Amino acid sequence: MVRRAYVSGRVGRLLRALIGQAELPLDVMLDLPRVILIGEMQVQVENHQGVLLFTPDEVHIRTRTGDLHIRGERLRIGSIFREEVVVEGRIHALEMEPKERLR
Amino acid sequence: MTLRLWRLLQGYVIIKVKGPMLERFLNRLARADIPVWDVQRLTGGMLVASVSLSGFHRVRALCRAQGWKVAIVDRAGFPFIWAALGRRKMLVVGAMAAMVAVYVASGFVWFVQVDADEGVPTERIISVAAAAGLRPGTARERVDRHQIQRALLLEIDELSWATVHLQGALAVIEAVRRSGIDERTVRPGDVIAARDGVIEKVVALAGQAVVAEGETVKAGDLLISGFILPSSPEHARRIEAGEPPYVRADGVVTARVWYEGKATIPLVETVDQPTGNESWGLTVRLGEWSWALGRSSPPYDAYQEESSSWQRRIGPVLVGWERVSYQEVLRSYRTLSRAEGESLGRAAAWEHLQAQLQGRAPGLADPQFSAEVIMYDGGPAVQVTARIESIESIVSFREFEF
Repeated sequence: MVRRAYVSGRVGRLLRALIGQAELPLDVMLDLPRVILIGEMQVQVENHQGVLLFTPDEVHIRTRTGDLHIRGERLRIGSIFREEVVVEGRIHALEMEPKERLR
Repeated sequence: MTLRLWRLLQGYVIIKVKGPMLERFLNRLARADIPVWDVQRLTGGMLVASVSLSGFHRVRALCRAQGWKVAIVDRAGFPFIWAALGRRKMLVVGAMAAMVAVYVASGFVWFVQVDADEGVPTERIISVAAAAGLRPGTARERVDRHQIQRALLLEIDELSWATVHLQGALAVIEAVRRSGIDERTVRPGDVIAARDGVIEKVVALAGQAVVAEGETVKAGDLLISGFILPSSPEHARRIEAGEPPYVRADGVVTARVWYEGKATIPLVETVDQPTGNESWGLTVRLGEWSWALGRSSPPYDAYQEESSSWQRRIGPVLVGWERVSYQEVLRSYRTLSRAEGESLGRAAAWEHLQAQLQGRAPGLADPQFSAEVIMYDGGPAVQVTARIESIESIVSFREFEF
């Protein structure tokens, strides 16, 4: 409920400020994606909302804040669960494309 | 690692999925909590992935409902290995029998090794250990290490320390030689004559001398006794002191000894001149049968004969051959004078004498030669004897046999 409310507006900004002041983890409190890059070999994406595109050169993953574009070579999905997806291969670039309404 | 092991234990299949919008396929699996890993996009319309055995049935149902085609590419993990072994029962039985055999065999000692200093009687240690119950084929649990150690130390005087380790099927006997003890000083015995002679000098360092200077002795006669005779005061002293009445006899005994070399030279010498004619006979044997080829007897009046043979047992059958070759000769006879015979005989007798001396040069004086005519091999011959005198030690040791 809190998670839905934060995204925009004054209430959202107030919430983020409060969570920041309380030093609580933003990703947990606001259901934000957590992206972990391990070297150039592996990307772990938590709190994802599904795979949009999967090719050996590019993987797009939907998150609450936007679409994460992973570019590289010989990309494959190491594992995929409801909460987490792991992309392996030779990673060249990560790019977050924000959702229209967040801009 | 743990996850990979868990997947192997559970078993999994590698599947190939064909169809449109395969990203949706992955999302559906994630939402349905069906574990899927190692996903690779091969072409636009096809991917391969690994799915657990339990998840595969749900994957198939999902694909059927959505129109994706799924096929199994490979199977991996313990359930499949187990199923494959079920089809090869004898393999399983054999493997289990081998394991049982190895387990049973590991309960026995198969090798006995002696790890000891140089000079320690290895063969004796092995035989004493075998008598005490440690030999190849003994069950490990029946090996009484302390008893074997005791037996080794009691039976073998030269050892100061011994121990037994069991290393799997190998038993290692470690032994240490008693330092400062010479084997020869431990075992009692007599000094006897190594050869015939007339005694020149006797010095008994241990034991009692039983011969005197000037006495003639034969090889094997007792010279210095290791047993102290009861008539000796030393005997009574030893008994009182609680010591045994015997020692290891030792001393110096020199004697005048003779070496003889003999040679017989026939005075009629046969001289064979080969003519070059040759014939042969061959007998081939196979078990009880034999076949003769060539000549069975020589076709010449005078001939020299050479034979060679070979045989081998192949299973129960003995196979082989014998070959005899005859070379014809022209035989003539040459007569030697007595002087010629003696001259040849002296050289041969001296050579024979030198062979007995084996490089030593003990001569007290020049060798004495004597010659006589005898009948030898049906004809007259000169027999020459070379004799040389020497003074040397004739000491030999003979251990007591209790």
